[in-house]
Amino acid sequence: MRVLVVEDSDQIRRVVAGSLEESGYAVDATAEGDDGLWMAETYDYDVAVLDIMLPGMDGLTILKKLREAGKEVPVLFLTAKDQISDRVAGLNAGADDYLIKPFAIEEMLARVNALCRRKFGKHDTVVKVADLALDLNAKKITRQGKTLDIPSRYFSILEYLILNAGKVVSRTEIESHIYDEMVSPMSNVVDVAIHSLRKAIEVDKFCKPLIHTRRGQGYVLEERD
Amino acid sequence: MRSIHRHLIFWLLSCLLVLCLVAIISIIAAFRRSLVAEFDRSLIPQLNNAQLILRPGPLGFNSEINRSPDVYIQAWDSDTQNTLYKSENLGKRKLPFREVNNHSTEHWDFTFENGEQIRLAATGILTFTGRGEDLAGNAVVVAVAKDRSSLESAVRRLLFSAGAIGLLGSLFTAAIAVWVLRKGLKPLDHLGEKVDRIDSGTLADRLETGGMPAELLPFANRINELLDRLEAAFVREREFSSDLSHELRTPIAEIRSIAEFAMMYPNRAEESDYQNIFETTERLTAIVEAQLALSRIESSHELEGHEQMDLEEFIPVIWKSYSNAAEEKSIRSNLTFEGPRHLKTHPGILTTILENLFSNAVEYTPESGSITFELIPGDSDDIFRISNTAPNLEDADLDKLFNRLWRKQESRSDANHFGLGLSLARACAKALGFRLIPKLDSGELSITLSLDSPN
Repeated sequence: MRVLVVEDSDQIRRVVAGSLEESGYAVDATAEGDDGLWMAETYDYDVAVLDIMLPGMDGLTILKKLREAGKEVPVLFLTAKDQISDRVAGLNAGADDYLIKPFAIEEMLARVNALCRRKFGKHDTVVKVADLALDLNAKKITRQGKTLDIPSRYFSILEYLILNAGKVVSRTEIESHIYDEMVSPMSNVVDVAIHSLRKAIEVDKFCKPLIHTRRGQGYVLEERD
Repeated sequence: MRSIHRHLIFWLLSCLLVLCLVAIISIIAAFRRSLVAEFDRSLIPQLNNAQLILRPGPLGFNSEINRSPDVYIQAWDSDTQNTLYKSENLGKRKLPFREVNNHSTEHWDFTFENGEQIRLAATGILTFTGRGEDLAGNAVVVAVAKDRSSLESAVRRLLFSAGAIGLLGSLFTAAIAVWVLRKGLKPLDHLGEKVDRIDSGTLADRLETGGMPAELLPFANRINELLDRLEAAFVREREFSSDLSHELRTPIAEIRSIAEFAMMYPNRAEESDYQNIFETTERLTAIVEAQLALSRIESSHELEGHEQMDLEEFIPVIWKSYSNAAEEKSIRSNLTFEGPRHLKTHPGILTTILENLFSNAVEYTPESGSITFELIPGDSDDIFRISNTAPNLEDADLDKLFNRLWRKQESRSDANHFGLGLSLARACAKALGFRLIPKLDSGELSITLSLDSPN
């Protein structure tokens, strides 16, 4: 999952981005409103965390411009503006959630998780494909009842594939959702990760393979007979 | 609760009722008097007839002359009150005697023992007996009477009719009065309803004055003016709350986030976190102290420790602390002292004013801009003026310039300032009996310290 954080306070931005990264999200962060708009329009984010009072361009304008551009990225406003009229204005502008500073990091993460689930149409926090189960909140993967220890960089890919189970997901899509803007698009980082992931979710040699390659298209996670 | 509507209706109806009653009573009394007079006039011919009866003729009393059967007649010797004559229809009953002067007539009512009500007319006459030297005059009182039940019946009918007409008239008049009052007071009710609907959520609404009666117009206009001021105050209050919320919540959020993040992910904690927490705490402390200073200044009534000050010497000392910062931004500064200016005031508070004005000017003047300080000599009401380049300010900003926590930069990202400096300067100026007058001219902001009330 890839998240955009636009927050002008250096400390809060670092903490929000760091917490999200620790939870397995790829995070792009900026302090400037106009930079935030450019990034949101350029990349395909799963969630955007926006402050409202920003230098360059305020969060409400960013959201308005994103919606006008047809970008449906779920937006969480993270702001010190605590009046009811501010919340109403934010939600009416098209925000999906509103969190007032000061906030608990756990709550912020839970809200971002919820927005991600909602984006993929999942209401349950546990998503299953065959005997593979992913707990989105606990960030825990089990197969045949056994907990799998998967490195966080692979966990995000598996999470994305499970949330898109049955659909073909291209390499570009994985790159844009899992890796931040620092990753080179020419690298074979996705292929290497998928290879490792297949091994990581293999409990024993009788396990059915769940991640399949569609030549020239990408990968699909599904149960096949 | 007193109601003009009820008050007017009560008094109007009461007055109408009294007027109606007085009118009815007067009419009834006039009619009764007229009926009684008519009745009395009808008795006069009978009285004249009775006098003829009592004239002694050759055969004694002329008792057969034109006598009406429903008329009672009785005559008395005026001196002895002995009955001289009594008509047969009286039977054993007697008419009451009353002394009446000759040729005068008196009328009065009387009720027989059987309940029959009569009205009498009596006059005094002289009768003569004998001839020649034997002629003797005798004073006689003659009275005639008639049953007055017809009169009483007519009066009762009149009373009933007048009462009924009066009652209906009163009700009709009352209904009209109520209707007219309601119609007349409708604009007042309308105004009351509109005013009643005013609350914090409808402060933007104004009373419609089109078509309003001239008597209510001053009230409506005054209420609208009050609403203007109230709305502006609410907006200021809301902006202040919002700004204060941001100024306090953001640093608290920073401290909390840094601490929570370090606890959750200790490996990601940095040495600079302590420095950040320290700086943020310093900022919070500065906000709280500035707010407290502002409250103290605003609530202070009399400041002690005023001194005679030479501003020509005093001001450059204060400016010195800001001159380096101005030079770093390549700001051209020009302090003009055309003459001495002495002022008896509080040096500490004046220092706060100057520090905040200089700090504000240096902070918000763009690089390569200019700051001009002008000390106005003599006894002018204006004491000094500080001007600086302010290309981003607009005329509308002048109204908010001294509002607490107001900042031109809506993002409020600059952590070094929080918009209390000019508020504090204004509060200090007010406490010393001065005022700060802002003016914007061709991208240059000037703030003049002037005596609030000259002399």
